[in-house]
Amino acid sequence: MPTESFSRHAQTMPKALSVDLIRLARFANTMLLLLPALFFAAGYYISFYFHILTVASLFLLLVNFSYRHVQKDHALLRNFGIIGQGRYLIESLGPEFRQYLFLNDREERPFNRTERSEVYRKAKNVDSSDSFGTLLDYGATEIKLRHSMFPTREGGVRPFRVTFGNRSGVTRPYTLKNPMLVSAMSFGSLGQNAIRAIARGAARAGIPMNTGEGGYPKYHLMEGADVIFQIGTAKFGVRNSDGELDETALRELANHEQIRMIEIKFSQGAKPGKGGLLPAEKITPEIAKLRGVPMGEDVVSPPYQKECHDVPSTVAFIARIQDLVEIPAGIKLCIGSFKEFHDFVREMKRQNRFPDFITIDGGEGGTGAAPAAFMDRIGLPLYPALYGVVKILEREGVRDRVKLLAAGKLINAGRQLTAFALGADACYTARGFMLALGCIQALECGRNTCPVGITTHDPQLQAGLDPELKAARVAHYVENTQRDLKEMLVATGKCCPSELSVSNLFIPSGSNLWQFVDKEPLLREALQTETESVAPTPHSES
Amino acid sequence: MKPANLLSWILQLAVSAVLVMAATGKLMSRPESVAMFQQLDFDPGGRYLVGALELVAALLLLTPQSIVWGAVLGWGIMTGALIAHGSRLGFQGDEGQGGLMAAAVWIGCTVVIFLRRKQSQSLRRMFARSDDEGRSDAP
Repeated sequence: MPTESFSRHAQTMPKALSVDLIRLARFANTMLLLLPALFFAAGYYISFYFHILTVASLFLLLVNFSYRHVQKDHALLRNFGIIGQGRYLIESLGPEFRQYLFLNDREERPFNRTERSEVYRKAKNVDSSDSFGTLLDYGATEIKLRHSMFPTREGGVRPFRVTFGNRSGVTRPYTLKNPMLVSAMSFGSLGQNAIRAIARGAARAGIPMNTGEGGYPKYHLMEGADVIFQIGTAKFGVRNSDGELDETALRELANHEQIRMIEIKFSQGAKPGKGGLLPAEKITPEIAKLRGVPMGEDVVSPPYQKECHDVPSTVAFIARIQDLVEIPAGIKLCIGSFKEFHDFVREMKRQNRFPDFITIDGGEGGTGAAPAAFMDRIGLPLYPALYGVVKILEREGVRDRVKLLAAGKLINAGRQLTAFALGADACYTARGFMLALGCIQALECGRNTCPVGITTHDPQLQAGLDPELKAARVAHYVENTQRDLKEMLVATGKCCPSELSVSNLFIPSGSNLWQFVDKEPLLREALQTETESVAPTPHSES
Repeated sequence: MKPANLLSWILQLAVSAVLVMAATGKLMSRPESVAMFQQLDFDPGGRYLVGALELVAALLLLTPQSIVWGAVLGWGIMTGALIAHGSRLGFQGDEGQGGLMAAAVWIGCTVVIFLRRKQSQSLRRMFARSDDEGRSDAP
């Protein structure tokens, strides 16, 4: 009942036009009751053809009835019937429309359109220069490289070489000739065409490829690329029936001439503290066979390596694998606590056994399938983690005993150089290579419905991915990123990436790295005196 | 095979048999069929249309992936037939026989839709993605 003043107000104010969806829906639902009668009359008096509409409207009426009075799952459909479907219909197209039209070039996550198109252009080997100026929020958060007044002279840049395993004296050390590596992607998470395309491109570009935790790397080995075999927490490919390490299988694998290094995975940036996850939709009979798992259910790896329950047993486990194989063996982890890592390094020192390399995976890393809670909320970002790890290793005086690999959105030369400046020896990227293959960031990796045939085993979807063409793109992506990297290195006046240090970075106060360097009390305590936010690291000051 | 599926298959076969017979009569312009449609002022366009739809419905009913859609289509055609008999042709005499047959097929289709209602999840998914927890934030 409107009050007097309200009604007077309503009289004086002309009513603005608006769409009242609730009344519209009620009107539609009432009309739907009348439609069949209307069409029936038309069919009876005018032409029998109208009865086609009579039948259709009767059908609609029945569907509407079932929405409103039978189903109980959706309150919206129960209240508004068929017209409520409009919401779901349009909403289901939302992700596509946002990507096509409505999100601006710097808005999308995890990679925005500008970042993606940079990779696409590198992969297609077309000009990738932009016009008019940076689109970044230049002042606030972006880490910048400090260039020198005296760029490196022609021919001054040394060829990139990093050798793994020379310190521990393995029989077959491995020398990296390119600072980019293909990060862990298993057959299972990716389809065979995608794996083969990347492997072929990697072989051409002369970079190694990590197998991920997918069992025997059948497709990774097919194209002649160097391969880093990853031992996941479930140890697919090298597990016995109890889920423990099958030493014979590992030794056999490690003797394969293409398998150059072993990586023991402790945790992954996208889901630290949680094992790998392969959804049931993506398990084909072949994958079940290669991994030794049943079909029809999700394959969930344990969150830990069974043999490692504390720091000494972990170092012992790494040493055991190093003793088994004749190639370099390292570990991969996402940093949670520096104190833990510090204890870990001290234990390595005590036992005098070091992994040949340590891969630091940032919390921003990608994955085929992980709970959103893990992707969003757990794991230190790469840059602070890398910085802390380098500091700890330097403090313990063992920086030269291990090589450091960095991973976590390192898809372009700028991010890679930042990682180098913080102390990395080489950079892993997985999603960069997926983008080079034509990934459109549909965010459907876990559903076996990848529209460009990368993370799917559906033959019809994979048919769109031509391995030969995409292999060329992978190789171009590596070459062109390297060219960028080299040119930026020249700008800093250095001769190789390992000469870069934190002092080559400009870290604005909005960056998480600055926050971290400035405020992380644990790190400061561990390193005793960290007063300067941009202290030069010792290994750069020769 | 589950009893429900068996029953459904028996009904599908019976319904498609009737549909195919009815469709051939219409498409081959048998005199009784032509006369009936002339009485409705629905000849020849409507006759060919209904005949073609009946064939499609029979095909869909016999294809495992689309049973429920065939039943829905059959249900629609038979609803039309019932309207025709109810409003113009009546249920007595030779033409009335067809009306009774239409009623039987209508019931058959309805039962098949009910038995195969799980298959119509695809209908719901197509519109609402109600079972798609990954993307839908449907309340």
